[in-house]
Amino acid sequence: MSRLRYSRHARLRLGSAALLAAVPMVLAGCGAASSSDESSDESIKIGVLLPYTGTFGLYGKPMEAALRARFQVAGNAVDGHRVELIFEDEATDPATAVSKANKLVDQDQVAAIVCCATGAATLAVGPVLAERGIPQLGPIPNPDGLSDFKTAAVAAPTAGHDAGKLGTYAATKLGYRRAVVVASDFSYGHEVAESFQKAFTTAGGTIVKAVFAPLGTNDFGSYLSQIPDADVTFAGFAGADAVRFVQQYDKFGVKKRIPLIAHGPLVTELVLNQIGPAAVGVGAGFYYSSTLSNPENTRFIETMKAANPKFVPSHFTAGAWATGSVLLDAIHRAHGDVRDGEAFGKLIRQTKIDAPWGVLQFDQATGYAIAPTYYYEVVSAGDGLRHKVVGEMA
Amino acid sequence: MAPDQVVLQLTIGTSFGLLLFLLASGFTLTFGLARYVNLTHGAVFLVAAYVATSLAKQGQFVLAVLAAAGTGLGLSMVVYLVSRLRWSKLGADHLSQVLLTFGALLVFAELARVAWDGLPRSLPEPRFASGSFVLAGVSFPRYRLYMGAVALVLAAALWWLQERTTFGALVRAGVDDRDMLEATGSAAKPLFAAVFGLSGCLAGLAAGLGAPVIGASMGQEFTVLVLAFVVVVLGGPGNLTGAFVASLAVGLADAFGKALLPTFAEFTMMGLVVVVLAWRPAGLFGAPQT
Repeated sequence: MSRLRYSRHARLRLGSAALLAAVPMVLAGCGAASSSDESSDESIKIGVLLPYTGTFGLYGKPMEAALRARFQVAGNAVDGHRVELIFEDEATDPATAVSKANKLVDQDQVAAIVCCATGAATLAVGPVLAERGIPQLGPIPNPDGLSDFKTAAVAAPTAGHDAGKLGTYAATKLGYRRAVVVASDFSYGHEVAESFQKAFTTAGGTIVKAVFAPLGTNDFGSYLSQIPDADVTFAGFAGADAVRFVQQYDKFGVKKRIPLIAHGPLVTELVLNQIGPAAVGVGAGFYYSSTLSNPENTRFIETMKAANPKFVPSHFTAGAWATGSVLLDAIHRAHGDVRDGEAFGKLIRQTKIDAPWGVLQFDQATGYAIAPTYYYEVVSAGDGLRHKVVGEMA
Repeated sequence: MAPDQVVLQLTIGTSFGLLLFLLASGFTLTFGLARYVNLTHGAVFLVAAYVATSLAKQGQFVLAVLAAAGTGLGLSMVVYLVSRLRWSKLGADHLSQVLLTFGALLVFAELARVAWDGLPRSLPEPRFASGSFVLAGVSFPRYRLYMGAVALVLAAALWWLQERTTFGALVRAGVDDRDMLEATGSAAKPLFAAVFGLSGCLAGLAAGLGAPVIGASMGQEFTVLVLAFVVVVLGGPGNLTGAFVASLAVGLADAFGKALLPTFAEFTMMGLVVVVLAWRPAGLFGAPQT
């Protein structure tokens, strides 16, 4: 009897240990999409660091799909040279990103690395790749700080750039004189708030009040009750904060008093329909909207939707797509010889292509993209919400 | 501060404080009765919130809240059963509990991320509670009053359960002296199971009722856990009255902090903890540790 009991316990113990050990392994298996296509010695290898796990983990797979799709359109080759993508998980973590970047260079011998979707990871990888002479290409708006590295480039304008354009536009074209600024209390929020504020006051407007709310604020009610009379509110929030802020801005009746404008991510396609009717009428300044009408945006969305009918376009995937276009074009101009990292980095900066948001080229001095910035409004259309592009901001 | 502003902040703080109570009451019960630090609480809330937001169709609100409560109950029982496999070790050792439940928290949260793509989601409020009314010259969302009222009713029911029923008497006896309870012939284990279930159910209810206000999003597993810890530490482990008072205090401190000192709003809650613990190290209503 006692032996029986013991063995049952031991089995349960073993079972539970195996279960606990297996779950993270399974998860790691789904998450880290470290994969490589069949490699040949002649093929050009491009490393891609994206977040598949951690806070930004949701962006990895869709961005990988967009990059793969762009390369597939080109037949995964440039002028007969095979191009191979090698993906690694940066795990929303700068330290992981750096070690994966080293792995891609040492082990896989990649010619360039697309990095990253996480601002901190991008900045951490920057000096490492610059020292090794490997070109780095950022796929989405990354923070300032890569300008010092000659081999680095970012295929999107900085968040501050777009917020600054909106500041000027709000004071001149939209005719607002007094603005309230409400933003997230971390680097992104401060960057867009400061840029908006600077441009808005330079163009003759005044900032009545600026409030910064902690990341992950659940209840904006008390902040909203303190918003003084003004012509407009500028908001700088992203993700779940954006959803709650826009909803509560409406619920607490502020929207009826003061119109709301923002930097793009507040009402990006990824959160728009979760916000619901509260988002109608919100204006945004950004370099991308899925409703932009140009042939490249149509090609991007149609290609992606053909593979996945539920695909929701956003600047993350549009950026990954455009990054693919930049690489293909630079490899073409290098005649397939990308062994010299500095020369390849220079060619990347000289790229001028059609991106889903219009012409994409790079500032030769900083490496950051020069792209148009649009002003659009949220309108309700049929069963959901969508952007209505008003025009390009000067 | 003008009187109408005071009324407004009181209302905002109270409605949020009541939600906090629901969120933390289950955590304080497990902590107090089983001396079990169940960190999974945050992830139970997260998964339940995502389940609620999946039933976002108009007219399904009650169903969504019930589904969230059921999810909470189910996940909590999973944690209980896993814990039971090594109860002799886990029952007495806080570090092992923390390790196990933190691992389970990460697993639950990761599963939620895979299942719901990691995107933030929200639940539309029910039609009867939508819209706003004017309070102190400012629009105030009607749903928050309903949420506060429901939380208050649940708090009263919980109080009745703990103070007026045999089950409650056994739970209170377990909080005070588990050995003595077992010596009188009442087994503590089924009681633990019931408290685990109740705790998860309360976390699920909080997630469902709170979904129209705070929604579901990754990272919530930690923010919710921190809030629950603050309430438990302030109120004293296992003490529902303490948790109730502490929740309201945190809600009000948060509301007035954001309104008066927006730059330091993040610190008002923790400032409250520091002050209270300096004054009463066992929490407002906690018995002194022996």
